[in-house]
Order: sequence, then structure tokens, then C-alpha cells
Amino acid sequence: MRKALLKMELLAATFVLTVAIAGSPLLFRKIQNLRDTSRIYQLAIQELSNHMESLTRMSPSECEEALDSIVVSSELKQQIPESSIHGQITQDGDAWRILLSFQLPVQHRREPIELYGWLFEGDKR
Amino acid sequence: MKRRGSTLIEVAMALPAICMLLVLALQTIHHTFRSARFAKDRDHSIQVLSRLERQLREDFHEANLVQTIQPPNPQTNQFQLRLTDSSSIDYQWNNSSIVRTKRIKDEAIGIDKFPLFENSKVDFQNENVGTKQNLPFQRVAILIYRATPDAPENKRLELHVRARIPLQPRSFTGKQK
Repeated sequence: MRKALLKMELLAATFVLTVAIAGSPLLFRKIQNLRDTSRIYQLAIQELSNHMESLTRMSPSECEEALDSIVVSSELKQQIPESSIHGQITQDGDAWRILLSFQLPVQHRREPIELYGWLFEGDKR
Repeated sequence: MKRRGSTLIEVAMALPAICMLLVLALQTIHHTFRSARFAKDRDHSIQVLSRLERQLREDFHEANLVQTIQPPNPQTNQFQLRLTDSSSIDYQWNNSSIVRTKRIKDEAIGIDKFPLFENSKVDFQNENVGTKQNLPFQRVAILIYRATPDAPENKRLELHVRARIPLQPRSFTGKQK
């Protein structure tokens, strides 16, 4: 049985270890970015839900007015400076459909996050 | 004749290199374990925050019929949602948790605790916005910030729930899908 390693084996093992160690910071950075993106995505969903909660309590005309002046809340703007929100309301049969789109900075997500809500006129709680 | 061993110089060169690689490898392993623990804690906290968010939205929704929302008491960090004359929901918080208590006739019938991230800061905002089409309403917001190494002064927003609460029931309401 062999009692020692060849120099070539030692070199190969050292090379593999070096590559693994050199690659790990990249992986950690990638994980950090994923965490940030997921947190920002979560905040965007919360922002859309906050707006939708208010909008679905309004009448269609009030809602249309509110959508014209809809903006990202100041607290979220501090966290995600390049974000923006847009909304539109369209008649959908006997209901009204509200579409809210939240645009995140490009490094996090290119496509806007969308949330749909419906208004039913005359629906009483 | 073929050499059977290494010279002292070769060994002296190889040893520091191996030591350096070992130190780097150990650091990486330590970092991996720490990240795994952090990810596990964070995953748990995110679940708690999701539950808290749903509960807050539901309570704010029920408070649609309340007369008023009492302002928070700065000493106890508390606010109260009035549902009817006899029932209410209290939220109390500190840096590590939020406690929700449902009361009927001043008797606590349900207590729910939401543990937060370490070093969290809860910010409660409540303002009377005035009236819109003769309907007075209040705007309330709960924001939870967390201190992290890259944002040490509780600057990292983790949760924000805002709602507009009419002080009397509306005849027009919508549904959200």
C-alpha cells in the first residue's frame, strides 16, 4: 500500500481547493443579492396591498382620481429609491378591474410586479 | 539516481501555502455555518411577519366599523382598535415582540405573540386625515425596521402595513382578489 502522495496529486488537490475557496465569495455575494431581492419583492407586494386595500374601498370615480396621483410611500421610497407605481382601472363586465404595477430597480427585477383587484358596485357588507 | 524526498526549501515553501489555504477554508466553512443559521432565523422571522401582516390587515378591516382608534401611549407602546362598544383589540410592542390581545368587555379572550427580529424598531403612525365625501377617516400605519450591519440604525424596513379606516360603515365596498 502507498504511504505517500505524488507531487502531481498534491498539486491537483491544491488547485481544486484554491478554486473552491476563490469561488465562495462569489456564491456568498449571490446569496446576499437573492436575499435583498426577496426582501424588496416582499416590500413591493406589501406596498401594492396597502394601495389596493384603500382603492377597493372607493367608488370607481374616486378610484380613477386616486390612481392618477398614486405614488410610492415615502418610507418605501427611502428603501427603494428607483421604484415607481402605476395603476389603471377598466370596466370588466359588471365589475371594475384595478391593475397596480410596481416597477423595481432593474438590478432586482425587470418586469413590473402586478396586482389585480376588483370593484363591485352596490356590493354591501 | 531518482530523488525520494523533498528538499527543505520545498517543504518550507509548501507549508505556508497549505496553512494559508487551510485558514481560508476554515473561514469559508465558518461563514457558511453562520449564513445558514442567519438564513434559518430570517426564514422564521419572515413567516412571523407574514402572519402579523395578515392579522393586522384583518384587524384594520374589522375596524371599519369602529368609532375611533385611540392614539398610542408612548410609555407602553400600545394602540387599540375598537371594533364595537364592548370589543377591542390591543397591540403592545417592544424591541423583540408584538403582542395582540383581543378583549370583550375588558376581558382578554385571546393573546397572540409575534416575536420579531433582534434589534427591531416598531413605528406606529396614526393621523386623522379629515373627511372625504362627508366620511371621516383615519390613516394608520405600522412599520417595522431592523438594525443590520449594513444599516445599523434600524434603517432596514421589513414590514409596512397601511390602512385607511372610515369611522363609520360605507355603503359602497369593493372586493379584492
